Amino acid sequence: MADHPPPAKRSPASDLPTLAIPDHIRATLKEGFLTSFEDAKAYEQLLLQIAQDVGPRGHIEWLWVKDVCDCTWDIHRARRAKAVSLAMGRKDAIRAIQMASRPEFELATEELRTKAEDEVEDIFDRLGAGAGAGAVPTEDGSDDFGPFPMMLHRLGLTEASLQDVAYSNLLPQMEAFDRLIDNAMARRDSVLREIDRRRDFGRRMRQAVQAGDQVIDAEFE
Amino acid sequence: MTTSDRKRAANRANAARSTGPRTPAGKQRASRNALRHGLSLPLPLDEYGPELSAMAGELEGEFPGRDAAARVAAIAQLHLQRVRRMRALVLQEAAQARREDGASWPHDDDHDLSLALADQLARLLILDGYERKAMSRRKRAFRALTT
Repeated sequence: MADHPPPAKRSPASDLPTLAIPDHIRATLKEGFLTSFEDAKAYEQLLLQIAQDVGPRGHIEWLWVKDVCDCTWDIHRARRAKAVSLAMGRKDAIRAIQMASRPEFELATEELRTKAEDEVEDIFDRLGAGAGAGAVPTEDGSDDFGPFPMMLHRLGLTEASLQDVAYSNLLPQMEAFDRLIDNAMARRDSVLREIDRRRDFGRRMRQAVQAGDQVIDAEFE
Repeated sequence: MTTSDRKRAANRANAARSTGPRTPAGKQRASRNALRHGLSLPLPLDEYGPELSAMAGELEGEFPGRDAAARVAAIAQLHLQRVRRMRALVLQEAAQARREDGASWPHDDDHDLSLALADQLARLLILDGYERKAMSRRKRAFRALTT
């Protein structure tokens, strides 16, 4: 299972009180908020950690805790999907540059297509790993990174600007991701405003959310 | 003619033009709009009997003597859960389809789900609208119950 929203690291596991999810909340977990492609244990841990910070009392407060957890999960899910889409966009940009710069690939035999795709994957992986950063492009690719930096150089691009090209190509999709994320944040704010109406439950919930957001934001910096 | 008059006249003209689908095929398609997911319809209480009883029971326990308000709040909560379940279903089906097609690489759960979400952005944004309405309805129901 790949990455999932990291539970906020606020206290060691040994310090956690034995807080249990009430049966009626557990019943709603079975409702199918998660897909089978997600880590149910990570979700439950996030729920428990928010609950631990907030100490919900009563049915409605538990439902609010679950709302906040669901919205947080939605935000992270959309951010991750946006990052994956952008990575795919970078790969598309590399592919387009490769195809434009290597006329032999236009022969489009199966063998050449495979070779071209392997090169795209290789460049993508190496750029992602930071290889070639700051390397001076050479015509013969003697910088041990192949001729790709030179291709970029001829086009007036840098490795960093690949991201901009990808973003520009995917602009409508990126905006849709942003709307999805904004909507989830607005839903969460709406729940928090409701909670504010009740005692200091709202204050503690806001602190729990901010702590969780700091962990998630750090992952995307 | 004042601005309001002009607006009113334009609205009437637009309304006269926008009378929905005209062809039999269009009418047939539109007649099933609400059945695609049913989220704009009231909660089908016959399907949710046991869940509704359990949820309303919990709320009644917390707010004794507020049985009717507790039932309304329970219905609103179940409606919200229904929207969220629909979102998961949309993602599940899209990710499953990607997995079966072998359409994405690498083949891992997170990657498949992320690309499925990208595929379904338009539908998910529509579901956001339903979720916002469901939350709004539940907010009113909870306020009525707790105040």
